[in-house]
Amino acid sequence: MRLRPSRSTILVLAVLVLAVAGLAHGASLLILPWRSDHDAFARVAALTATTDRATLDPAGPDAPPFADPAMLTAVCRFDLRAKPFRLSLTPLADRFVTIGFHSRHGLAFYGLTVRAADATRFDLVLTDTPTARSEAEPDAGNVVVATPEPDGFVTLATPLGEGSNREAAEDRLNGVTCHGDTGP
Amino acid sequence: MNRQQPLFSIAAAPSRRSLDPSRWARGSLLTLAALGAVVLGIALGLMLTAAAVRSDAIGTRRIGPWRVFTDVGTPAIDPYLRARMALNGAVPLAAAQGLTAVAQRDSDGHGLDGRCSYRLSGTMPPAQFWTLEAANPAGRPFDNRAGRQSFASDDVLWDGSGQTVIALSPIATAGNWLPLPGSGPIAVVLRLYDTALTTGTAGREAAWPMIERLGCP
Repeated sequence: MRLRPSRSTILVLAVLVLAVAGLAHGASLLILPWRSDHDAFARVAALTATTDRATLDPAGPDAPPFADPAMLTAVCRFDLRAKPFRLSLTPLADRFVTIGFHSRHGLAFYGLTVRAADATRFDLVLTDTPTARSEAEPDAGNVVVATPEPDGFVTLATPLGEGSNREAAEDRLNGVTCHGDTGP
Repeated sequence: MNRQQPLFSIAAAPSRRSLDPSRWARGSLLTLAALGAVVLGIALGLMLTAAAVRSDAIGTRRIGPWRVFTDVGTPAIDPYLRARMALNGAVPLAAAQGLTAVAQRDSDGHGLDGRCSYRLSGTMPPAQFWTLEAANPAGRPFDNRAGRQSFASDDVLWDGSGQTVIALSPIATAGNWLPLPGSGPIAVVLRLYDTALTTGTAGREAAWPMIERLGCP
């Protein structure tokens, strides 16, 4: 009985190993952002389990890594399936507020920086359907942003400064409301 | 009887083949080998993913000692970097917010060490506001007695030429001093807020500060 594999059998098995390895690599890479329990949204959800908005402490145990300790940062969650999201910003007296929009599974899909020189009030509305977009557009003063997923979170950050400047930073962030709330 | 012989032979032939021990053994071995190849392939693929998402180089562009996160703040984020961030939970700056650069080596290529003293100097890339932080390689700030974890563009002391000089050291230093923890590897994180640098060129056209090692104990 001769059981030694032929060269062609070994070649086919090697190709099979490489093909399966490639598929497993590609699939795991694509699945990771959708299955991870430790992503940014999970960390934000831990911070804002009961409220829509929370202040982020960069040194806190649940804070995302690489959070900037020089910035006062707040996060708002959104879930368009539960309620619409409207971010309102009043004119700033000084400095700037930088705002980042993140989808549930890790895409930074929109960002803006509002400087003190941009002395106008504006509202930003998130939408995940073309119908909602067309309804929102006629509303003067609205910026309408399409989100790739119905849920996610928004970061609001402003320079912290030192000492008494913290109060000014808090005032700047309180000038931004998510869902019509009044800040943390 | 003679007429039945061929019929008997034809009917018996498949049965003989299926009971052929060498053919049966070869088929079973091939099936086992194919299953083994699939398992090995899955293991290799997952190991490759684990190794790739651990790499600091993925999704970044190297400029001097800095690794600049070029497309992290856009929907066109590198899939390897997206997977890495899904595991570590970092929140990137969106492209319109700014750019982040991380240095884990000095300008000569040596790993940054919390016991050593460094001099960060040069022109900062153009930005409305920048911050510079010393953190551990996982992106966590250090506790330090001086209570300073970062510098920002509006609290740094400038020299007359518009250059920035910041001392990074575990030993208190006059001027702009960013305390280091005194042990272990460190990362220096530079964030450029509201910068005119685009993600496409990723700041190659701009000047970036260098990091020189002054000494180690």
